[in-house]
This record gives sequence, structure tokens and C-alpha cells, in this order.
Amino acid sequence: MEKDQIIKAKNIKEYFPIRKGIFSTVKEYVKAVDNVNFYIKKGETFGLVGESGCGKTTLGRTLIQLIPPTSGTVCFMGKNLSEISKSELRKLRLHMQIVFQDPSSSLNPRMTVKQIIGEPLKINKKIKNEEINKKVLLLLKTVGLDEQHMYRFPHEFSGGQKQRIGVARALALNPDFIVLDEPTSALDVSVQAKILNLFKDLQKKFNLTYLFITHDLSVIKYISDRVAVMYAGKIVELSTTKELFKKQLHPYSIALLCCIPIPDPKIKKEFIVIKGEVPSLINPPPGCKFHPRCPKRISICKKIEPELIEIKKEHFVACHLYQKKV
Amino acid sequence: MRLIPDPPGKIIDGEIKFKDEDLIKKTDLELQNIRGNEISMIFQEPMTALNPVFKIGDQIAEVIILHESNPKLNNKNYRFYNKRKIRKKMEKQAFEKAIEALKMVNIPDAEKVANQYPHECSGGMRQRAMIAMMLACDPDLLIADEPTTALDVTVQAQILALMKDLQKRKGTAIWLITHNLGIIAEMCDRVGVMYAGYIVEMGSTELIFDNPDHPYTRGLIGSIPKITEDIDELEIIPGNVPNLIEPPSGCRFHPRCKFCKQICKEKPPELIEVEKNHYVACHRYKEVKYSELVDFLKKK
Amino acid sequence: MLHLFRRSLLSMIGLILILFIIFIAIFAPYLAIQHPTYVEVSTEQGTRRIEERWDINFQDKFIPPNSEHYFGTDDFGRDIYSMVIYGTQISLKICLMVVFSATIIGIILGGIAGYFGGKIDEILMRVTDVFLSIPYLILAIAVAAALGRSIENIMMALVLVWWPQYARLLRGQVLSIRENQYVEAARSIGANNWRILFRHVIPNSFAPLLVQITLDLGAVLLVAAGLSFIGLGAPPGTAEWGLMISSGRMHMFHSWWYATFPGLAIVITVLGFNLLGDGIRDITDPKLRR
Repeated sequence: MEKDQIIKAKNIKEYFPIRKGIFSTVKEYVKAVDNVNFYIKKGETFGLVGESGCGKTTLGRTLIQLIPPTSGTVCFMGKNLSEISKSELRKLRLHMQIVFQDPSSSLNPRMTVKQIIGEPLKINKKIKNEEINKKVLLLLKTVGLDEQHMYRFPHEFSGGQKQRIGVARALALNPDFIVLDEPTSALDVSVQAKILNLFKDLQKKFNLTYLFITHDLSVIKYISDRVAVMYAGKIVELSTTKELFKKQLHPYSIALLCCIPIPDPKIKKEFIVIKGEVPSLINPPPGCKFHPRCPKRISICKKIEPELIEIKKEHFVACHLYQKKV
Repeated sequence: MRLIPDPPGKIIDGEIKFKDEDLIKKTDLELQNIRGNEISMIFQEPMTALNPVFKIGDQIAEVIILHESNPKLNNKNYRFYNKRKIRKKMEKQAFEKAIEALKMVNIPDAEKVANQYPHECSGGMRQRAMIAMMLACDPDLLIADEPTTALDVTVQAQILALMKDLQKRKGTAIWLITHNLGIIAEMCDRVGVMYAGYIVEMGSTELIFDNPDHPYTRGLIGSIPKITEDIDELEIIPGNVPNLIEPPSGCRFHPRCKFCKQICKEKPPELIEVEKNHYVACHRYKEVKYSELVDFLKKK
Repeated sequence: MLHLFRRSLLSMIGLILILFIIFIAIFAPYLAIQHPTYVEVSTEQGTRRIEERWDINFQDKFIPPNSEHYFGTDDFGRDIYSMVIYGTQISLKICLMVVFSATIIGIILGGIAGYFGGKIDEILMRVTDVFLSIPYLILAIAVAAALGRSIENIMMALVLVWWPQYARLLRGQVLSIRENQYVEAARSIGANNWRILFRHVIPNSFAPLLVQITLDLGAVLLVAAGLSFIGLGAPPGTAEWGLMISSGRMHMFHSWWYATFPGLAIVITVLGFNLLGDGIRDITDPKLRR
């Protein structure tokens, strides 16, 4: 069990202090990620869904140590990242890469494609210029670009091509684990399909593990093996994709799935409209964070925060409705 | 709506008929009258479409005053608008109307929201305020340009439900511009598919989704992942959207089309009615239809 | 780069003016009739040697512009045309050196302050504020009083008051550029802070600074000329435009050319820098770039 977990997050908390007043004293925290536990298996695609501002992006960054967690531990390939030495961490971190949401801001506009993709090689491996050239070309080909693109600047490319460059950069160091942070939400639908297929191909080819962060459930359904639904900094439901789309348990997941317009006019369904909006992460509601919007809330929801428990095999829910049954 | 300023945008040719009147021939003043009163628009970015330095209620009130004191509509009000006392009174009335409009779009605490500035409200709230503003002038046609793209799915559902509901109550025609096929399927009666400046296919929503005849529409529908189906690989339309400065000759889709023949490179196809309520602009729609049938049979 | 200038006539004119002035500065010895402070003297042996000129050539004083002295002569009988030409060298030296040094200091301090933030930012910015609050005139007087009148001292004083605005400008830019995802991307591929700062952040923050720099070249020139005019800059006898105007001002009524031509030179140079700056601003505006 432990062996095929490539990355494991335990009680991860990520609080950002808000400083106020003359003496910049910390008065409040933005609780972007609040006590999250999960693991990702080798070679799988783990989907993370949630609305904007629910902390899913922060969670992704925390996992690959772009932001160190406020508390809690991340284990990567069996090593606790908060315990190992700095140099070891540097080395390990290279096995984890990230592809960003906005392809135009994630590429330095003043560098050529060759410089962008070659940079990780230059920094981390002492290899010669010609070899870098060769490697960059190889990478470009893997992501479906070719030699003529090598000396151009990012602004000469379309959004989809830019995203391909971003993927090539992430692949340059032969990573095992890649965080895909909404990699297709800035792209057109027809381009999105191409990029999604590219991810699938690359996964097969290089035996990659993905953490796929998105707000688009239909993309999750297409690409991922297991899914976690996040709401206001917490995972509220975690299960295999099949199971989740067949039978959602948490009221939020149910509402979320109902809200998605289905591109098929024959299926006319009523929106189950949940009232209100995503709560602020500074002052989240007490108890279950979803309770002010929840259509099925019971009295206990206001007071006690439900824990994520396994209801069925591989199906975790954080909701009082199901805790009683167990 | 003739909102694109001239220059840079210019309507080269053609006519826009609205209630049997050609909008292009109208003067600026006449257009001012139509905008808002008869046609309104909601924008994609509720953040930038509202003026950040005015209170939401005041902004809606301004729209109401503008349209009530319009010289053509109501001469009396317009004449007195410059007198301070009457103006004050009118402003007060308009503000109350604005609160009513806010209540109509299901904003809780409408009085409070009316006194807030746009940045104090969330995206969904702002989009509601925009809708309220448009409703305040009770238009016959509402143009919604990607009204929910900037919003979260749960909020999107709220806004869509609201728009549907208002349409039912007021009988407004809605022109929804979006790239989200799901929203189209949920909301629309008829759809036009646009590619590189041309409408390539138009028809009732069900016909378009069930039975798309233009290769672009087919590719588009095939390329989106759906939550209702399990698919292993998404369909792909090769190539990229062409540059509108130098569009391809003939049918603008031909470089990406697998049904492309010589005629497609030479002549732009016209929009023809292939069945009732279904128009397609493609030289080879019959072949497309045929291949669809073959695909279907293969699957069986 | 050049084809971008063609879009705007004015910036093209600016570029041509500046190139023209640089040309004059480089080839001053060939263009000028005589050196303003040195003179060739024929010796008894028939050879010639160069001497510092201190003699006053009274026959030649205040000659109006003619074919021999294009811009006339001054109260010492020196050729104003030659002085203006050599003045180009001095003026360009002052503005380039001042702006260049100020930019370097500004980039380093502003970059570090913006990128690292926190306490470093706070300290560096307060230091900047202190320097910003010193009026250049007072500082120049103090420097001139302490170290004597010289062009070098004036340059030093100007650098001291000029760098803080660059540091502030760059810091602001860095603050916004640092939020870009390519910075995070660079961190995730293992780049260290210095590499990110100098390779990713500063090159992308530089564009507005470049505009400011070009516009400031003109401003520095004006300030330097002004300081010389009030007698704080170049020592007397130097062919410095501001100084020339200052001494020409006494003779304004009988020999108009004395102050006019150096004045025109200042106008042309400053105009050139300003037009060029505007042009660069248009070019670096990402909305215009394709």
C-alpha cells in the first residue's frame, strides 16, 4: 500500500497571515488549505475539483513545495519532505513539476523557446550547449512542436502552443509527478481537446503521475482516475471517478454536478440551485463549512466539523449525514 | 447594437432589422433611444462593466433616469430635469426603482447592496446587478455576451436559472453568446455556430446537437469532454483558428476540414436550408451526413 | 528595432537628432575650428605645440557670425561654434554617466527591494526616501562647497539625487512582474533567487525604466546646464553650454549670438531625447507590439 503511493499529504494546513494595523501584527489568517489528507498512487491521474478560491491551487503548490506548508507533512517517494536536508529537497523537488493555468504568463516573454525549455537543463545538469539543443528538440517533438519553433518568442505562439511549451519545460527534467494547474481553462474547446489528449499520451509514454486541478468536472471525468472535491479549503469527498460520477454523497458534490450544463438538449433537467456563494476563507462558517448553503443541513452541522471518513471502499466523505450511519 | 465605435469598427454592408426597422440607417440619437430601451447588453466581465466609483444603486438609477427622461419618450420629465428640486425627487424615485430591480434578480438585502460599490460585491452579485440594470429599462432583446464565463459553476447555475425565469415572466428575447456548449444546450431554442466570421450552421438546438451537418460543428461537439459519457480519446480538429486579417480563401474552414475538396478552396459556401429550421453553409454537407451514417452503423 | 521607429515620425526625428548629436560629440576635433581651452602655438623653432589657452584675444572679441566664425566669437575671442561643438561632448558625458550610474544603483536596490520584499524592502525604501527628500540644488551647493567646482562633482551630486526614482520605479515593476507564473515556473525548475531576479524579473521590468531613462537624459542635461548657469557646475572657461549662456547673458544686448547658440544646442538635444523617449514608450507598449 505505502509503496505505490508516490505522494502523500498528511494534515496539510496552509494559512496566509493578514497583517493589519500600525505594527503589522497578524490579526487573521486566510485558511487556504485546512487540514487535508490524501495520497496519490504512482501512475494515476488524481483530479482535484472545486470552485475558484477554494484553495485547490494552493494545495497543488504546497505539495510540490513551492510554498512550504504551515503545518503537516508531505511525503514524496517515501521521504518526508519537511525532514530531509535542503540539498536533498532541492534534488527531490526536480522530480515534481508544475504546468500552469495561464500559458502566456508562465513563459518569460523575453526568452526564446529554446532558452525556456533549456533553462532547467542548464541549471540542473552540467551539459554542453549542443546537447541542450538536442534535448530541447526532442522535447519539442514529444509535445508536438518542431525545430522551426525553437528560436521564436512566446508571443508568436497561440495559447495551445504556449501550453505545449510549458509542458515541454516541465518534462525537461524527467519528472515523476506533475501538477497540472487548470492547464486547459485558458484555452478554446477545440484546443483543450488536443492538450488533454497530449497529457494522456505523455502519461503512457513516461509513466507520469498527475495531479489535475480544475473547476471543470467534465474534464475531470475524462482524464482522471480518482477525484477529490474541495470546498473552502477542505476535501469534502474523495473517490474513484466512476464511483463519484455515479453516486455522489456529499450535498455539495451533488449540487456541483447538477449545476453543470450538459451539452445535450435532450437531457433537460432542473438546476438544483444552491443559494449563496463560496464563503470567504478568512472567516469561514463554523462547523461544516458548507452548512449555510446546504439544503440538507441538520443541527449538528453548525457546530461540529465533519471528518473525512471512508464510507465505502475508496470512497471518503466529510458529511454528518453519512457519519451517523457508520 | 452598433456599440463598436466607428472607427475602428465599421459595418461595411448589410442591414440589421429590428422590429422591421433598419438599425444601420438610424442616427446616433435614435440609436441611443433603442439601446437600453429596446435592446440591452450584459457583458462577460461584471468587474469592468460596472463603474467602480459609483454605488450600484446609483448606477442603476442613472440608467432609469436616462431612459425615463429621454426627450422622445417623455417630454415633461426631460424639460424639468434641469430643475434641481425635481431632479432630486426623480433621483430618489429612480433609486427606489433600482432597489426594486435588484430585488427582482433575487439579491438578498437589496437596500444594502444598492448602497455598495461594485468592488464590495462578489462576481455573481455584480452580474446580477448588471442584469437588474438591464431589466430596469425592460428591453425586448437582451444580448448576453458570455454572461457566466467569469463565474463559478454554482453561481453560473444561479444566473442561468435567473435569466430563464425572467424570460418566462417578461417575454424578453435573449441572445446568448458563449463558447460553452453545455449552456447552449440548457438554455437555447435556436443556435448559430460561428467560425472565422461566418455563421456556418444555424438551427434549432436539438437538430444541431443531434445531427450536426457542418464538419466544424461536428468537431466542436466531439472535442468536448462530457460528464454523461465515458470516452477514451477526444476527437480533434486539426490546425488552429485562422487569422481574420488574412482568412483562408473559399470556405474559411477548409484547411482544417477532412471533407475538403477543390470547390471548398475556391468558393465560400452559402447558408442553405437543409431541412426545416436547419441551415448549413457547406458545399459537401451531403457527404458529411453520409459519413455520419457510416460512423453510426460502424458503432452498431 | 528600427522598423518600429518608422511608425512614428516624431520619434524618428528624435532618433535622428540624437544620432546627429552623438556624431558631433565623437568627431568634435574634426568639426571644430579651434579647441576652446587649448590652443596650438607656433614656436620659434617652427614646430607647433599645444598649450592651455589663457590669453585673451582682444581683436577677435565679439565678432558677429560670419563665414570664418559661424556662430561668432565670445568675450575672449574664442569661436563659439567650436565651443558649442566641444560642449556636446561634455553634456553627453554628464547625462550618460549620471543616468547610467543612477540606473545601475536603482536597478540593483529596487530589484532587491521589490523581489525579496519584507524587511529588506522596508529598509531600502526608507533609504530611498531619505535620498528623495534631498533637493538637488542644496546637495550640489554642498558638494561644490566641499569638493570644489568641477564637472565630476556635479555628476556625483546628480547621481545621488537621481537614483532613488529609478529604484522606486523598478521596485514597483518588480512587484507586479514577480507575480507572473514564469517566476514560479523558474523556481520549480530549481533556479535560485539571483537567477530569477536577474534573468526573469529585471529584464521584464525594464521597459518603463527605459522610457524614463531616455526622458531623463534630457532632464539631467537641463539640470546640469542650470547648475553651471548659476555657477555651481563646470569651472569658468569650460565650454559647457550652461556656463556659456551664463556668461553670454551679460552681453545679450550687443552680441546676441553668445547665449543663443548654446541655448539652441540645449533645446535641440533635450528635444531629441524627449522625442526618442516618447518613441520608445510607444514601442515598448505591449499593446502596440505584434
